Amino acid sequence: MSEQINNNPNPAKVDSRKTEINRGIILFNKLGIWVIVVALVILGVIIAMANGSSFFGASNVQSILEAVALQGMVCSGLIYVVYAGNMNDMSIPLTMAMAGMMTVQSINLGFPIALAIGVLSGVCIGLINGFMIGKLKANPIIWTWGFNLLLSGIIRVVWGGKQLYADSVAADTEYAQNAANSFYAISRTYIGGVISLMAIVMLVMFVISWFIHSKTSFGQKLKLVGTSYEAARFSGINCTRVVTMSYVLCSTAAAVGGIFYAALRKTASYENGTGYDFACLTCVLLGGTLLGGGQGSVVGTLGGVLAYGILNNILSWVGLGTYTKYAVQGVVFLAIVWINTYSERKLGKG
Amino acid sequence: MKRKSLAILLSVVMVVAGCLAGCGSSGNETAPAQTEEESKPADSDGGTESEAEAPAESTGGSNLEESLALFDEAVASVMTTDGHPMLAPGVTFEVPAAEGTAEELEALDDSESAKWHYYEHLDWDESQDAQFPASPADGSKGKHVIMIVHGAHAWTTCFSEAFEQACEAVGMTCDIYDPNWDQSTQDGYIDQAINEQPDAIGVIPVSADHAAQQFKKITDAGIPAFCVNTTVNAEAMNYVMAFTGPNDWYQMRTLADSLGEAMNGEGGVAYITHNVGGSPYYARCYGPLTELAEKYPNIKTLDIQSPGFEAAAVKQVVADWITKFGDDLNAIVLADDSDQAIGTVEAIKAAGRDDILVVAAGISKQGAELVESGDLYMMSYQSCQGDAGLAVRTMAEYFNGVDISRVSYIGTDVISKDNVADFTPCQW
Amino acid sequence: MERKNLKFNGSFLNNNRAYLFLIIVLFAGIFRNNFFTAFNINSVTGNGSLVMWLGLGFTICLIAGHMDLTVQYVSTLAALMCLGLHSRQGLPWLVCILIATCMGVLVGLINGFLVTKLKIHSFIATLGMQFVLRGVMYMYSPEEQSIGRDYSANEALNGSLIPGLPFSLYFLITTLVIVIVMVFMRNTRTGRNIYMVGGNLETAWLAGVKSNQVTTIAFVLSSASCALGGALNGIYSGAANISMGEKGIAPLMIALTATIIGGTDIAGGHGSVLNTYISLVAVAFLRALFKKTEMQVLVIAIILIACICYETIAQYRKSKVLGTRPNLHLEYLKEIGRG
Repeated sequence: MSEQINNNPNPAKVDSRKTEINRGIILFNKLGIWVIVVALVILGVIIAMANGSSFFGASNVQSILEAVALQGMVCSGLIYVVYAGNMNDMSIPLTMAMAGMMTVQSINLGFPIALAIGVLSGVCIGLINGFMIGKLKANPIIWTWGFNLLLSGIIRVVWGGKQLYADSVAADTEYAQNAANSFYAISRTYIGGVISLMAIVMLVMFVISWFIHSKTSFGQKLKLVGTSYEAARFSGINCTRVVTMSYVLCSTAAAVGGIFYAALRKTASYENGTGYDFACLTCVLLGGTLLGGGQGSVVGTLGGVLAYGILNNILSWVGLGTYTKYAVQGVVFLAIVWINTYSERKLGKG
Repeated sequence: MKRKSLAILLSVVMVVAGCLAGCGSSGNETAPAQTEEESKPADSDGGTESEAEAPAESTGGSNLEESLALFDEAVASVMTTDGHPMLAPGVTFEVPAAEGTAEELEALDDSESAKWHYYEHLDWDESQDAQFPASPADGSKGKHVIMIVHGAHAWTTCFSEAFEQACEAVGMTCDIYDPNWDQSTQDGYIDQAINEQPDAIGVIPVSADHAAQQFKKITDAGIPAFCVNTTVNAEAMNYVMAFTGPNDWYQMRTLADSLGEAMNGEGGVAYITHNVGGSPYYARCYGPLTELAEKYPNIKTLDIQSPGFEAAAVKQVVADWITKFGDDLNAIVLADDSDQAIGTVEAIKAAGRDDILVVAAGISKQGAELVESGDLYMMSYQSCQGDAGLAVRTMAEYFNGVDISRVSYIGTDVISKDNVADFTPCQW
Repeated sequence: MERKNLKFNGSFLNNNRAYLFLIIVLFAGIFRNNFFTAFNINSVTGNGSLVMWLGLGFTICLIAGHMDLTVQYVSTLAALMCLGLHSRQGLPWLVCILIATCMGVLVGLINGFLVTKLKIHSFIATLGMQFVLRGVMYMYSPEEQSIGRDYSANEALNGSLIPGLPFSLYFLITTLVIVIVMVFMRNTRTGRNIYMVGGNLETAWLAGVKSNQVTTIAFVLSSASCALGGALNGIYSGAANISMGEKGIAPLMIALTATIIGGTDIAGGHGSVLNTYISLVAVAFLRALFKKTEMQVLVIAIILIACICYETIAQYRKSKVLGTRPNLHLEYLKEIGRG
């Protein structure tokens, strides 16, 4: 490289920047979070042994899987928004709450219809977000944040700040009561008595998400839109549709998560889902998705979700209180994001 | 052109919002607030309101008689959803002497009952009391009160509805403000409430420590202040006309007794607490802790955690406990019988540990269901509507000129599988 | 220089929407009993002051093109520290406030470092700092909700300087600081550099502005003002609460709303600290109008959404016109009265 510009009269201006990409960085980008997952598992095993019990005990694995199931469901959709370069969907908490409210409110129509209405409410929210951000190019953070506040206001005023219980909303007929009971049951069913339905649903959602992301034309278009919006636009991709679609997927996933959340809590209220916006973003970023968009994978996101769960698990093994965890989580988050950003820059983006 | 029309649209939205504010608020709140002005020294804008034809113009005597009749009828007729009288009279407890000064007690170990004396008992120096406004003694009918609750929750909704119902029954009108668990918002609401000049203000303080200042403000403004549900510290009691609420400590101690018995006096107990710093935090964690330490010295305290009220978070904490402590974990004490109980029971079921006893402070719908199914061993009965009823009862008695007890507690009970039917359908 | 066009049209209304908002709220107050009493005005402005500090910090950062999500936690931590230092260590109030503000400066420096040196997006960097600050708060006051409960200076801040003036000293200090910051932002080189960096980072850098330094200054200003405000609020209300603003309407959300209503450009480079302040005063009065929290949330949300929609659609229309026919854009500008 340097020979080419040797004839430059001013030697101080020699471009000494590295043009090769560090192999380690590439490796980190490829394997990404799974390295950390393995490291955390090893750490967990050591700490568990020191405590005299097994990290791989059925109950512990199950508890990790269950603790992350809801987050995983939301993350499987959130990745599209981050991937498309729109940073974060701040309306996730109220999407979850809204889906729970709608499901419980319509439980009288029967369980499948109620579920469909819940998911549909998520799709509607996604469409509105998609229209505002994809079509009108609103600032993604500010819009979704403001929309979150609006949804919160609507839910609070319409339902008067109350909590909804499925079995008291349900009419006094066998049909409605059965619907309410099956609603409660979805978060409490164990397939084969071991793995909870929630964990299965999460994995299924990740598989679907992976399929959409890597096997469909939408996934391919999304890659281009996330990498370079302008380039995608000039190559004839309907960017508006792609971005809208990414929000619809995200809100749908959040709605499914919200329904399970409401079933787990046995109540639907406006405060369901508080904190999920940031927690899920943490998982997605941990999974190696770049904030700028165009980089990342669904498999990595699953790794991010697991890493988050295992980290929490280990922190409580070590005996940290609920609040000290915040500081540790914050520092870990910053460190991961820094590595993420650093590798992004080394790869020539950003 | 479009931009202009948009701007006009924007301002129209604002105007509509503003008008809504004006109409909405003047429509449903001010009229009852002004009906009772004859007992007040000066009404700043009384001229704008033509309240002369209001029914409260009648003399104090007949209003008092009407109020007393209303009161008797209300006590007899108004029932809670689980079939207990809502306006039942309160219960009082003996306050033992403190075993030392506040500083000495503070130095004691957490597991010593004496340390929590001032948390457990409302033990204050009555000679320091502020000058309370005297009772008008002209009847509760037509009085306007403002209730400032702590925050939105299913419990609060139930409480607010019961409070409104009880107020209506004794002929009072009320406004309920909800500061959403935020202390500074509650401060703001207290200013707002004082500004409305109601006949009484009831407060459920968000923070027990800060309550003194809040009640001082109300009492200084010449309005009787009632503390509801959450106990406050000794200093605050000097500014509180009367406290009504559950005796959380006593309830949790009774619960702990039963738990200790069921555990045969040995094993390990872990605690999940209420919001850190509030009075239920101390009562529902250190109440059973000290009781168990005193009566069953072989019972160990394993861990105390504050994961909040999210079922998923609680579930994780409990699952981690089960892995960490294994068979050492025999019982869990919860500060809440809804979300916390659900999370805990889920985790226990997932681990297949049906030997772990779970007790909780109650009573919510979810909790009662869990007791019925046997997943929750026992819980305390803390009537939410009874709480509201006792507060209204005390306020009404104050307006009727009856001598009121400065501290009164609602009735208490322990709920197990055998008697859960008496307490259903649940209040919330 | 061209004559400033003071036509009463849509553009004028839009540029001064904060004032419009305030006027409407105050107008609605006429229909409300006991609204314009000295006590009410005093308490409403006093209780709303904390958010004014947060709005100040948030606006400065947004002008520099960054988001500062830590504002709320910095102020809570500062309040805890200020009261804690006074009641535990017995330091005089001024020293406590100073130390708390220094803590704010430190947080601002860390934020600035994360954003300018590590090149982490400000939204994410401050998000991470939020968690760290929360942890620090709980470590500083374990198991105690309000470590500081000190009412010794409470009266001084609650009282008013001039008898008869229905404003507390705290609100007056807030106003004074905001006016000073406004003058700083408008008339000093650093202040104008903040606008420049926010407007176009590359151009600013090419013009010789030390963009990293200026960005860091914006973060430091933001955190320091929030810390100062938080400390004063701690003294004003006499107690600090660890979970302040975590439930209900988050102060951060109100600060954001007011910043947007005040006309600060979401992309940075345009906006005024004073407009944010005016809209925060309006929000404070608005909250006194509605006693129900639900209605407060809904109304604030509707106004926020209306403003965002307006900005977005205006931007969208502009982008439709811009670049395709330059003259058309000029015509467009002329039509809206900015030509």
